[in-house]
Amino acid sequence: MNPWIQFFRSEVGLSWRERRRALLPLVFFVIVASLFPLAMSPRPLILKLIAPGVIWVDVMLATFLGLESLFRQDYEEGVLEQWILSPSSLELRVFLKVISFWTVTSLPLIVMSPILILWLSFPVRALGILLVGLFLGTVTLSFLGALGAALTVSLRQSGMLVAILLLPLATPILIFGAHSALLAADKQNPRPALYLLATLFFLTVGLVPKAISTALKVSYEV
Amino acid sequence: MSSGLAIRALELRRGRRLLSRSLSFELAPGGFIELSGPNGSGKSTLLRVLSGLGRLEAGELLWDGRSFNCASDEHRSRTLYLAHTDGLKGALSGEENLHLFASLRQFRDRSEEIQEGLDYYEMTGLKSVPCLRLSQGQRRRIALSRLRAFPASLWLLDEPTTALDRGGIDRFADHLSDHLAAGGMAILATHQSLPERLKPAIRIALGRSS
Repeated sequence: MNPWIQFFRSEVGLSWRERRRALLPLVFFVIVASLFPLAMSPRPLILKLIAPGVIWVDVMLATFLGLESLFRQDYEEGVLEQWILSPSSLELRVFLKVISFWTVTSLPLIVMSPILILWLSFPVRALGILLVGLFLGTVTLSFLGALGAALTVSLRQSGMLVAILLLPLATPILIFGAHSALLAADKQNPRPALYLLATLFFLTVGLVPKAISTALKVSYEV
Repeated sequence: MSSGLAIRALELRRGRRLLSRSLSFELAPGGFIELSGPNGSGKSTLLRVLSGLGRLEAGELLWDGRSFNCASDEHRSRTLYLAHTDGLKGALSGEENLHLFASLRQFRDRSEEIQEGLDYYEMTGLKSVPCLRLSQGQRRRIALSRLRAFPASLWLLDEPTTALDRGGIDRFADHLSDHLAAGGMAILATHQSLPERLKPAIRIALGRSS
């Protein structure tokens, strides 16, 4: 078997073995989304207006929640050292690790989001745009979050620090993502927002793996 | 031009602390170096620099008379570094860990060699148990099987015999002798004395850090 495919399978397999932990972000996602109708007002008119924002903020928080410890265990077990010392591309390995995280953690959020957003009186016709936006957004957020996890891998108790570091960086994704869904619900053209989101997606996927590998290497140099 | 590894005027630092101003030695194929010194004297730091994990502050490294970069793929594929953490994923079994390691080293199929390595360190019976449930000594044996299953001309070993029982240490000593007899090199940082028959080419005692 190709070594890269073997590596990816082993990463996904590992997350699957610890699926109870991968399930936490999903449970968090569902609970937070259902808090809003309770706290604000169950009137459909209001819910429809806030639905995309609620889902997007919720997805963002749930993704970061799971990402904070992305490299922690590999770091503590000394496996990350072996990654860095491997005579192969660290960038590609990091890329596969983030994709495997996305598959196990963010994909279930995307699958769950139509159910939640329909609870919030969001029109069915705009679901397609919401899902496309969420796909682009969660991948981008996963890479950004992985960068935060890599920068703080050698620190203990870094959860809040990662959030503070990343949330400002993630706001453009939130703005374009939530607005594309809102525009679609309002029967306006959501494309410009989606295109901007796609730009961020390609920039992040292309450049951030390099930054993550540098951050990981530096954490061993000191 | 000498074959083997040569270090000239290497400066060792941990953080801002200077551990060694100018370290020089040469190691010919078939020999090994025993690093000793009190805690914090820079044994691990030296191994990390040579593995490419730590940063080279100052100094020159030569392989077969040619200067090299520790972070190059060429150096990485001829070196195996074993840190005091075993580098094993707790959720995976010993065998799965070795297969994962094979994918890190870009090997397609190493099943036979992995089997042989586990056999050698008498871990065949426990190869399917998650490493989390193994004792420290057993984990160490699995980590050492790596050296058996994956060829490398330079071993960098940080306290390789920690937690090993007598039999395990003997096994390791035999293994090291085989490696050296085949023209391999090794640098060991150790507090425990190795069996008599293993004679290091050089003993380097790093000083107390001040």
